[in-house]
Amino acid sequence: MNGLMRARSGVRLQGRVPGGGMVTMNLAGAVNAFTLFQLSNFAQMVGTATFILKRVKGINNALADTEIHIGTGTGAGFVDSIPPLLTINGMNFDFVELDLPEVEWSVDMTGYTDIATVIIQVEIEELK
Amino acid sequence: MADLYPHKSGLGLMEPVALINHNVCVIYGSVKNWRRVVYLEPIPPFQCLNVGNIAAQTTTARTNCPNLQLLDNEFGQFRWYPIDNAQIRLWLPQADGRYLLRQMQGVVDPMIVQRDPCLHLTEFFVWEDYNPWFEAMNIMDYILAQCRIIAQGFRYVTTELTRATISAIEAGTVPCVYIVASGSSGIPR
Repeated sequence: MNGLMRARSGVRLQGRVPGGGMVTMNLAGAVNAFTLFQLSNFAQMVGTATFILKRVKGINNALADTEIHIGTGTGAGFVDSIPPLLTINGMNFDFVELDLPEVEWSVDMTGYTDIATVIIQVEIEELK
Repeated sequence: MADLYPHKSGLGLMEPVALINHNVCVIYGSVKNWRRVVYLEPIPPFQCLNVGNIAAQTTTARTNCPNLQLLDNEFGQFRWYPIDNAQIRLWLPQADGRYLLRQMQGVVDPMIVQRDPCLHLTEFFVWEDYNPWFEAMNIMDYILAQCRIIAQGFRYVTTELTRATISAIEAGTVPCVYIVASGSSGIPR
């Protein structure tokens, strides 16, 4: 049993729960960055939470290939946390754990697309 | 008997704290209930409480959990974990927090099954119908639609001990397992 334990393991959550966790990015550009997951930061909670992106699922409805950016902040303050992900016109995309770097967020996760519209859903693992 | 004690796990995930014919002392508050076990049975994992939906960044009131009550002359040994993303405090009775430290009260969240797979350190005991209360904290920025708690353990039926047996236990000549079934706010200096 002890051999199964991992020091860093968290609770798997979908972004923007409840409501399916989907975000319709129908506006393009960093200035229109959407919140994909809000960090748990209740003042009374015991400990400090962070989270790691585990999966990005979505569909490109932009009528063109486009990159999606996932990071923190909005507008000029947007910072990519992982390299942009290229999505193909009219196709579903599904980046899973092995495709994604083990980046840890300690603030809300935001994202935007270069060309609208892209429907996106993230799956994260919350550590605390 | 000497190798049975609270919070123990052996090759299995959970062991009973006493067997049939063993002596126990179930301490509830300042009352010592001296008993002999005459029957025991396992209680497989079941959903003992659903606190319900919790608004974002909200702590619920202490919620009664009558599903963990036992009949007269009985006590229960329970371990538990939540299956929804909340931090949960245990109160037993309603006014006494469990897992109590000087500065804070410990919480249990779904990660307990990873960090303490046998759930040893969640173990608590219930005397008769003095059931626990749970206080759930939704730490997320999102509503929590459900807040469910799973409990498992053992049910023990007991009879009273004679005065002579109690005296022998207190004198140290007869073995007994001591069990705490309530919280403690400590002893003042």
